[in-house]
Amino acid sequence: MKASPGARSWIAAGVRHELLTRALPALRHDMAAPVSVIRMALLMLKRQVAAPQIDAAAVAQRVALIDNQIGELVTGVRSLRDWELAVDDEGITRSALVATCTGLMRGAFSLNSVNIEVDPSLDPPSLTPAPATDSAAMPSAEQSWPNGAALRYLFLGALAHLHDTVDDVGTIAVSADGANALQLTAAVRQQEREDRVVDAHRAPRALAIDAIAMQSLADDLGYAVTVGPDAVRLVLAPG
Amino acid sequence: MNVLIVDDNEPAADLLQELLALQDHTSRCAYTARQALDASAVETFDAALVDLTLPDLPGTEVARRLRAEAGDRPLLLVAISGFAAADATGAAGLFDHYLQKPIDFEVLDRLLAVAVARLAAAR
Repeated sequence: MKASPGARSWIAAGVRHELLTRALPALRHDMAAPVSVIRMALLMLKRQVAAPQIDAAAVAQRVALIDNQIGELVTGVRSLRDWELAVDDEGITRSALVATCTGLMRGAFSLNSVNIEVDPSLDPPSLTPAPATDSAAMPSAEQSWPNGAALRYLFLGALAHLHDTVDDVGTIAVSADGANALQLTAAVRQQEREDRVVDAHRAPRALAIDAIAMQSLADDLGYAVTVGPDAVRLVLAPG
Repeated sequence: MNVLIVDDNEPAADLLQELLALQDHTSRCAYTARQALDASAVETFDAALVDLTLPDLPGTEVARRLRAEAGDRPLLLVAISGFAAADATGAAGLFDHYLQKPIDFEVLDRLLAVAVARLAAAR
């Protein structure tokens, strides 16, 4: 029996929930780090201001650090909105999409000895060196793709799919495919040595992102994906 | 107690060093796995607080090497991470304790105090 559109949407919603659940540890990590620094800095600050003689410069330095960390925390909190499938989405460039999603999963994957390798052509563009006659550097232009939240879920889905379904995966390589697509390819682990220990501790995934889950997610979000046994191709334009 | 602090978050590592000094512990900060392994090659540590996500090597690999280097010598290995222990399955069995960021300093103090007592008894 074919799934009704309603059922398909529920499957996709479940897949998005699973992907967000997997991204949460990294999102939490990014916010826990500044909180940790703020707590320690406040402890030291309390001691500094309670001292018989207050070193104003040292206190100012400590306050500046706390201010900086609060800024990072605010950025982290705001970034949570990136996961809402909102209608007023600002969109995302291909390089930012890759940097964001690989950044989120790299730590968790590395704890299980799965490396993510990104082709250097997908590095976020830095400021282009200014010609001698120009006074200011201009950022190189990169196309922004609509529906950034949807693309984040799709990219995470592709990573999770290869992580979950390719036996003995060691590396997931991300490369550009033309101007409007991404190719993710899994490769098996080259060495065995201590990785056996890691495998023994690898948590089983009760909800693997299999090909059906990946395809359901893409269909529901309105994107074309090609799901192979060890590779996924994502087209960044909807339709 | 001489403590090796391994964390690529430099302000976090530096502040932890200051807090440990208040508890009369000596410590050294390493901001990369390489710095940590270099430090352990020339200095003896009684404890290592190791962030699991480092830029050059996984914290689990640092822990393996520190443990191997220590041999029979007591070495308290504490994992420190923003990830929950359940998310860091690769760290299981490598560390004596697992602390999630933000660190609970009372727990860390207790762990170090127990380790100091054990160290004193062993000597």
